[in-house]
Amino acid sequence: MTWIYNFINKRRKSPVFYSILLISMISLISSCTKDVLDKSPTDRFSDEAVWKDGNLIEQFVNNTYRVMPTCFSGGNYTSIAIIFAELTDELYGRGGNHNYINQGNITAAQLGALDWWTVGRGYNYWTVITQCNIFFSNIDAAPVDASIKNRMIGEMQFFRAYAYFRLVALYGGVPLITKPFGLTDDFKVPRNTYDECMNFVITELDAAAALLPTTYPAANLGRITKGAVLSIKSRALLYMASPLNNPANTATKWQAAADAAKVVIDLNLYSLYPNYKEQFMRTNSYNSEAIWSRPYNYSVSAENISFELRLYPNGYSGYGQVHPYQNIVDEFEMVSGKLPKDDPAYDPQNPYVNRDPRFYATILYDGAPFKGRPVETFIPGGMDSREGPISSWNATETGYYVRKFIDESITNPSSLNQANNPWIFSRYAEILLNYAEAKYNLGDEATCRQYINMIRSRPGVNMPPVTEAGVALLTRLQHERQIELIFEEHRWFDVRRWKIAPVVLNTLPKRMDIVKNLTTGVKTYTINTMQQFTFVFTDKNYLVPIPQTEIDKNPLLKQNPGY
Amino acid sequence: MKKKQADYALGKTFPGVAKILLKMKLTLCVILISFLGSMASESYSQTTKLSLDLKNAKVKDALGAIENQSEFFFLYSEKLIDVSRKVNIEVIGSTIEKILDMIFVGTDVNYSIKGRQIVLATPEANNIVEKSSVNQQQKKVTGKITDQSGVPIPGAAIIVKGTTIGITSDNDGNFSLSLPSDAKVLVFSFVGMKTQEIGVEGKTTFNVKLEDETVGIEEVVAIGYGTQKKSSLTGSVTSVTDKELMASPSVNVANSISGLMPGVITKMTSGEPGRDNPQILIRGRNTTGDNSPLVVVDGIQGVTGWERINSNDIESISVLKDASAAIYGARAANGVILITTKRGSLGKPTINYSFNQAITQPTRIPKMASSADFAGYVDQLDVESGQKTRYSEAEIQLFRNGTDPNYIDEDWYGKVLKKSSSQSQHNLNVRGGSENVKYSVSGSYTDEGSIFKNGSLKFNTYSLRSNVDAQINKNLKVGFDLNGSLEDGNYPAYDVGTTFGALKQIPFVPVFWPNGLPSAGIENGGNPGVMGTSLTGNRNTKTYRYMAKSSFDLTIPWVKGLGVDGYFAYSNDIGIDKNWQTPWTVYDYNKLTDTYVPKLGGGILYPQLTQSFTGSTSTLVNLRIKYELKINDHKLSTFIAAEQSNYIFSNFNAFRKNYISKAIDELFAGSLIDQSTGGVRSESGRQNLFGRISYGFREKYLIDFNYRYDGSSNFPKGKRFGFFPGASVAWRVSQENFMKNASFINNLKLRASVGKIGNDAIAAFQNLMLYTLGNTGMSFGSSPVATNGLIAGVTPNPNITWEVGTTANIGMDASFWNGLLGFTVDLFKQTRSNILATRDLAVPLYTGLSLPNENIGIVVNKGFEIELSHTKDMGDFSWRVAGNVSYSHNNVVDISEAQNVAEWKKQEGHPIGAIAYYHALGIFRTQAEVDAAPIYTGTKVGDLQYEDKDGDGKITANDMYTMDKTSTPEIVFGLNLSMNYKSFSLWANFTGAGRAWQYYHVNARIAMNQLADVILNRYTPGSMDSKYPRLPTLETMTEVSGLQSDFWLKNATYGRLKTLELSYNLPQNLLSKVKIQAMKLFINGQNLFTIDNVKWADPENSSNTAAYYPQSKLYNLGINLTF
Repeated sequence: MTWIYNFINKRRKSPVFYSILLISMISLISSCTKDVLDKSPTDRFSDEAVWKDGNLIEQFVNNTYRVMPTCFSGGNYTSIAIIFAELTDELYGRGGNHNYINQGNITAAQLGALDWWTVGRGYNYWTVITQCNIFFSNIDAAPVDASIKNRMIGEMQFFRAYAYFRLVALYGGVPLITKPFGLTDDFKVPRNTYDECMNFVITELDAAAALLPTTYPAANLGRITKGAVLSIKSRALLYMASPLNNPANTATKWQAAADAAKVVIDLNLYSLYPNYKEQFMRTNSYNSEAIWSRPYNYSVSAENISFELRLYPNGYSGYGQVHPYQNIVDEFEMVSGKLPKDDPAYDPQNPYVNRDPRFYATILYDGAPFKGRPVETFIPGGMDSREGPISSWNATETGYYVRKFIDESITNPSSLNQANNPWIFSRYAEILLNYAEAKYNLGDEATCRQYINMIRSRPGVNMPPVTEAGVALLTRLQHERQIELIFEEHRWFDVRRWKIAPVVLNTLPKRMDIVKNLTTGVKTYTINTMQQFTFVFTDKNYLVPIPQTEIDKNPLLKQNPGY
Repeated sequence: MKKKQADYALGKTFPGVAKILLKMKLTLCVILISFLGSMASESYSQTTKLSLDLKNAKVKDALGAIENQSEFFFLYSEKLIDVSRKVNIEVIGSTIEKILDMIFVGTDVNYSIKGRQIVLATPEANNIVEKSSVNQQQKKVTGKITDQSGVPIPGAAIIVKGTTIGITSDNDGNFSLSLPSDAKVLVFSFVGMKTQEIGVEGKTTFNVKLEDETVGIEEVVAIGYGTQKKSSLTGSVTSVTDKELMASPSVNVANSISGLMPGVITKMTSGEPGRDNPQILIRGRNTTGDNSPLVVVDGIQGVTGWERINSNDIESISVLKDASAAIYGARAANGVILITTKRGSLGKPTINYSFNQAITQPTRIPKMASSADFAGYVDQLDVESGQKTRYSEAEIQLFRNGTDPNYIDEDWYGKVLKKSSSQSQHNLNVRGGSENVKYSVSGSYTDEGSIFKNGSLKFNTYSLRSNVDAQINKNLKVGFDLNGSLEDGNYPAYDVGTTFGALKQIPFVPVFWPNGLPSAGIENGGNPGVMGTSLTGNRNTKTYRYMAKSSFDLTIPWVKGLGVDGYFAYSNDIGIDKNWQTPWTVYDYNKLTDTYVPKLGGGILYPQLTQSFTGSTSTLVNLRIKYELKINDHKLSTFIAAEQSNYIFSNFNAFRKNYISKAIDELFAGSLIDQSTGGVRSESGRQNLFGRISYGFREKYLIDFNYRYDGSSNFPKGKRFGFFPGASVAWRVSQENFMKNASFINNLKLRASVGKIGNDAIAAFQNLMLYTLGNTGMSFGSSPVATNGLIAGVTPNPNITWEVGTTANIGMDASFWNGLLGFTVDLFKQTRSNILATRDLAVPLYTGLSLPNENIGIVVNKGFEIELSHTKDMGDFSWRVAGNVSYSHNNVVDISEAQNVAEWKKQEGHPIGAIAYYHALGIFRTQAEVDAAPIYTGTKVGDLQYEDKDGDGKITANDMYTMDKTSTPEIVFGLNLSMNYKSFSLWANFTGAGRAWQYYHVNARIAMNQLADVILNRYTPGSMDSKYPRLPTLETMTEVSGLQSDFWLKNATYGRLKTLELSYNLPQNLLSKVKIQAMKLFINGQNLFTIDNVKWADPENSSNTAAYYPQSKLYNLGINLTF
């Protein structure tokens, strides 16, 4: 080291030395300055990387599966269990959460649980549509194996079509957007008509059906099949033929609906599952009746479908969030095939005997066996009543809880402890009923009865066949659909498209109060009205208003009538 | 070779370390090279050549001129040296000796030059003593004169009061003086220090500590990349020193600065240990985007965790509020907070130890309704929904009596929370130094507990900070700063917000059953009495922060005034978060069977562990060439500098669940099924060139120009670099000749500044379309397998760049009658344009666009700050009162709002954060009133009545209108009092805020209790004067009385005693016997009382349900020892 010191010390006064020193320091610093500003993202994939790589594109498609709203995810789902069921005459939501919607007080500024347009961007139809549009603007040039590519195109065509179908069913015609927007684009586009949108939906579904397989190998179960596409096509054409959208009652529309249902039936892939209750369980995922179901799995994808937590009665440590009205309990037939009100065998003081087996699979009522003890909604002191010792504030306000969808094997349900049942978007029973309805409207009442009775005679149900004709048959058809598909988010749309909403939705909701005499053990059943929750339906409520914020941003969007 | 091996081994175990070592070596090299290069040494007095041209000037002015032109400084006593004598000096390129000889020719003043320090003394002083003492009895006294930190003061004057007898202290501060027998008092004085008078009776030794003059004209303030005398500041800079910071018992420095600096707005929104960082705004809000100021600690920008630097280690905090911040360019628009830590000083090592022990209490705990009152409410809800009431009058009476064990009236807050908790702080530091090496080493430890009973929440910090400066030779100074700290937080596995929310449990249920078992709480076993404890598991977060900085400062010997300095800093923050969640058991009581029914809480069946490791590394290189020039009255100083920084963030996490045992909370023990891992890395960099030119004429006219050419990797090529200039001027009117007669004016300065600054606080790469791969796909297959799922990011914005703020400031500083009145006023305006915001107000959601930030908005922010101070020194008793008020009001000019929005609902034209409310007119009391008024659908008697803003005869969302009532205070004030009487001092800091509002959503239902005030004063049928309407029951704002209206908007104006400190310095003579230099005892407190109108929660609360860890009140006892 000494020689360095000496060397430097001798030259310490030399300007050259200092200059060299300075220059070397500056160059030292500048040598590490290279590329300091030229960073590329290391935590995300670039556009370029994604659309050249089939594996990444597939993950993009997989995410689209997840973004599709279900009964839990999507919309304004705060404290909602089964969204559309709560917005119609099926389920009462605790505390009257949706009272203002059910009373017709929905406004363009406040859509609440019916805001499927602006709320829940993580699970949202417009998000689905945008993802599909991004996909379609890139997929053509993507160097991906044709079979995989076609499957992905089919999947995405289906998703976009389904998202539009749902939006149109809620809002009427919406802007039909098929290309992704750029930042500098003009966002002000008008609404397309109902027919324009639905024709697009049908065309896309047809295209998707042509690309997708009927079945998948085990590892790919859960992907969209040809059957899933055709089942939605059946529903879409049925909606298009229905009185709300087919005021002229054009027969060709019914014919198209009938044909579409028949195509699914003729696939010969699906059959009614032998156990009505168990078909919704996770252990029976992808059963013979489920056409399109959405698997959930907390343990691998950290997603919740909290049926047990939200539906279990308070006495079983559930939230008991939604409560079936007495009104729908009254709609479950006696085993005689008659409604309780028409059946002399019905005893109002022993109301839960000899009912349609689907009643026991659907409703938890006082005395229903559940997890090793009967459900107790009676007072005083019923475990599942408001006087129960466990979370009494979560007790039913109608006297009932939901049995459908929940897995009895779960104890102490929580957000992490649940069965993870799939959500079934479409199942074979609906297709049969779709077909029956289309046939009825084409005048083929015999086929209509035949298909209704296929449902009624399903194993474990075995209800007497329907024999009515004419308008009475239509009533039975609608009734069958109400019972079979209860809580499955059909009712909200069905009562509108049938245009019976003004009748069935202008009702006085009822509840069951059961008082037990503690000394005699005798229970007294009294039906009371829930005056303050009376439904109000006016014509404007056929459609949901377009959110005001969207109209504020785009004056070309015309509001639905009445809002 | 051995050393190399060691390095290698270390690097192998910790890959990051190898990198650190490499970088350290690199830096060392730079310093070594420069060090060797400047081994030259010649005395400063010989090399410095001065030029003076003074005619009929006072000696004092001549000395001042020398000080201005050189680095010399003079030490003398005006009492001994006649500095008002007039002299004529005309020299060019002369040495200091020659000049001093000229000045003092013919006098007996002698001088001694030691480095840059020149001591002037007179032999006469001693002569006087000799002469006058001939015939008198004499007493010899000795002593030592030092400054506050114990550094000896040479050249201080010691004079017998009322005589000319005196002497000056020698170079070690020592003196020895023979007193005449009638001497009563000695006067100790020194330039820039407070004069002290001490009685001589009974004393022979005088160890005197002189204090800095508080008027502080010569106070030095840290500014961006340098310091400046406060008197020559041109920008709007406010600062606070260690003294004020140390008076606060808070362990969070950010909470101590409240009210001390005009223009600085703090809002302490939580009292949770370790998570109590306040929101800090400089001059309010300027942007709809990120408003957080840039924090610079010892030259390192964007420092995180600065809030936890021990206040004993902080020298000062300065805040740059105007164009003076432009030197920090694209990050400076929200103001800059500069923190300078303490360094070593000349003198023997001083060891200082301080200890603080505090008791903390929540400032305010909500008072909830009792069981009897709540049961009444439940009954009302039952009646309204057509059901039978649950509780009879008799039962309600039983609740009220509290005698029947079946009728419980539980105070959840009281049972779950402790009355108080504790907090302690230790700091031990050693500071000192010689001419060659100065050092400061400091270690701190703090310990904070929580207010949960049996709570597992605690927060500890450990830190070690070492700053060493070495003067290698006369041209080269190097510095090494090292600090490391650990923030160790231990929390219950449950988020405390949820736990506080759960305190609204209904009062009928106890926290613990009579047999001690915990009750089940409302949902998920959510009993806060358990949620706050370790039964939930444990969340441990450790943040290790390391920083190493080496710096050099080189004077280029052959060009006077030219120098080069620079530093290299490396910091590494490591975070380890270990979240161990365990299920717990709570019990429902079944009174029919008299059994306790167990229930699992925590939402899980088996324990699970999430562990994550984050590391962020940043490097900063800075090199600067500076030049100073003094020619006669002109002083120019300038520098140009380059800086480069690089930042790397990486993270790794792992998760396992279904632990079969609670015994070991490590990853290996979890189930192999469904385990998951993740990790990510990101990088960013900056490059800049910047500089400053300051020019002063006779310290009278001052001009300052600074600029930064700033480049950031956050932006696309071509949009990366921007130029940010700032200019400021000041005129010291008091230095003008025409003001000389107005001797009551000590200082009067006018200032003005204008500049352009930026804000780049946004996510990187928004110019690119990027896709995130997450755990978000579907689980396909018969035995489901997760797929990743690729999520599209924001739509690319190729034009993205930073926000631009144009800021203007005019101000005045004044000081009169030697500090009896001090006055500072500033008026400012900042126009922020190109505001980075998402255009979601204008872009329809059907576009599906995931919007990037775009440069769209314009906000204008205007306001003023006024500071008044009053200082008086009456010997034993001195005091200072300073008050400040800041006002800022911003206005959104443009945020690309939807075109169709009704004028009254627009955000444009209102402050940031202003939202639309319904305006409540009152409460409907009769059906007739409801029938006659425009109503919101579903309105019943007892609901709120709203204003029909659009006049359409009904109340709809269109009737909401934007109100300028935000939760950010527009006014903040501080009132600081300090009083010293002999050894006692008192410090009080009152702070407050005005023009701030907080919205509350107070819903109550069968399952949720609410504030007693709300339940008791709710609307009940028939009430004509209830304070509140029918209470909302839902969380959502959909019920008529629960709509977002100004009825529930509370004025959050408050004033509070933020800090109070009473301290006592023990007498020195007592301490010197036990070898203690100084000992201070003090009691202090924080948030001792609050005056406000909110009552429901602390006025600084920002949660509309008030479910949060409350702010703390502290009572603290402390001791400070100096050895």
